[in-house]
Amino acid sequence: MANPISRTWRKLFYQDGGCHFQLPKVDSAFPEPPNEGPFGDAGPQALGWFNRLTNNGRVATPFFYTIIGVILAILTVLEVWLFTLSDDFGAFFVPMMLLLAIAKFVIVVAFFMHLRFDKNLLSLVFASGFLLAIAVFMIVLSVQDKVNPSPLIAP
Amino acid sequence: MAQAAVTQNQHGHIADTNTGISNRKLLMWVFLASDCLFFGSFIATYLVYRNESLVGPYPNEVLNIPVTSVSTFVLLMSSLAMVLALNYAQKDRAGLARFWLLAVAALGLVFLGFQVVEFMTFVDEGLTIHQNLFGTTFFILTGFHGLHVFVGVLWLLGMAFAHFKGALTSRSTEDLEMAGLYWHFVDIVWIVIFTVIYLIGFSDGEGIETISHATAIIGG
Repeated sequence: MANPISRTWRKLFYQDGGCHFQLPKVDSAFPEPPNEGPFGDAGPQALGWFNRLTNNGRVATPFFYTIIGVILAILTVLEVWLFTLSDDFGAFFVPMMLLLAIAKFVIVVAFFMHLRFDKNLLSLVFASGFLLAIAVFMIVLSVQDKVNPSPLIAP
Repeated sequence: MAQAAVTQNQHGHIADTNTGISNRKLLMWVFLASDCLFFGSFIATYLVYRNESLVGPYPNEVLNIPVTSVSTFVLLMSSLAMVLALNYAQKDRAGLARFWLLAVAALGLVFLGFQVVEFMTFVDEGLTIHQNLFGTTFFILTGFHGLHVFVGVLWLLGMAFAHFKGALTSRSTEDLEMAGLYWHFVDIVWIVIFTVIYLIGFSDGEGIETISHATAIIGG
């Protein structure tokens, strides 16, 4: 009897005798796939896994939170490492730093603060305050020249 | 006639409200949303007066990125400890919940220690709150953040010693959740401060003059 590796090899790459390869039976292989997208059902499948992992009314496990903590630590190390190489990135440095900060911000808010698991109303409340803060932030920066027209007010 | 809906959220709490969310939790989120405006204004003010100081010390002369990176890491890990404390409290594992809660408070105190040392170093180097625009905006922003951390530490220590003396109840778990939301918010504010003020703002010097980040770190 063939060993498991040989069996898997045969299953994946040998013909079944009817001139057909034994391809895995997935939704996208059927004539009218139920969840067809640009990559078959890969998108809906991935979304389903993500939903099962982070939602469906369940509380995440300590292991899950630890993984999130490790990801945050890696992003922080990446930030500091990129900072030491900032001269090499030129104009891309600031956008890169902001992207990493946004990623950390979203991860903490979504998972540690449970907005991913909670009712959407809470996300709406926080997002409205946050977007209002961003609006104030942008307005203040846009009138920067008017509020600080000359260095005479300094120090 | 509006009828209060009794729903069960994902943590197993029963919220007897129209929204299905505990009123205290909703209020906490409204407070955090308003706190975004508070810190957003200070960060915007810092950026408006960025590179406007006429006298030193300037950011590239005083900011210590390696040390601040460590304190940032400490605060980040305190967030992990906080979520673990809440997770164990929700599972009625009072011992583990208390352990992680005390770990959060300890990490918060370590972060505050880093900040006190940083402030004292800055003052030794001549940077005070009235020395220049950088000093004013920097101390106001990071000082208020430090004050938030201090309040959080007091809150957590109070919870550890008062609420967790006896058996865990759903009420104390919700209290812990409120404290956790506050603590994580303090963490995300620091994520923004660390990136904008320390990493991006490190190159700020006299006027619009900038120096190489890497050269300054290496000391070349």
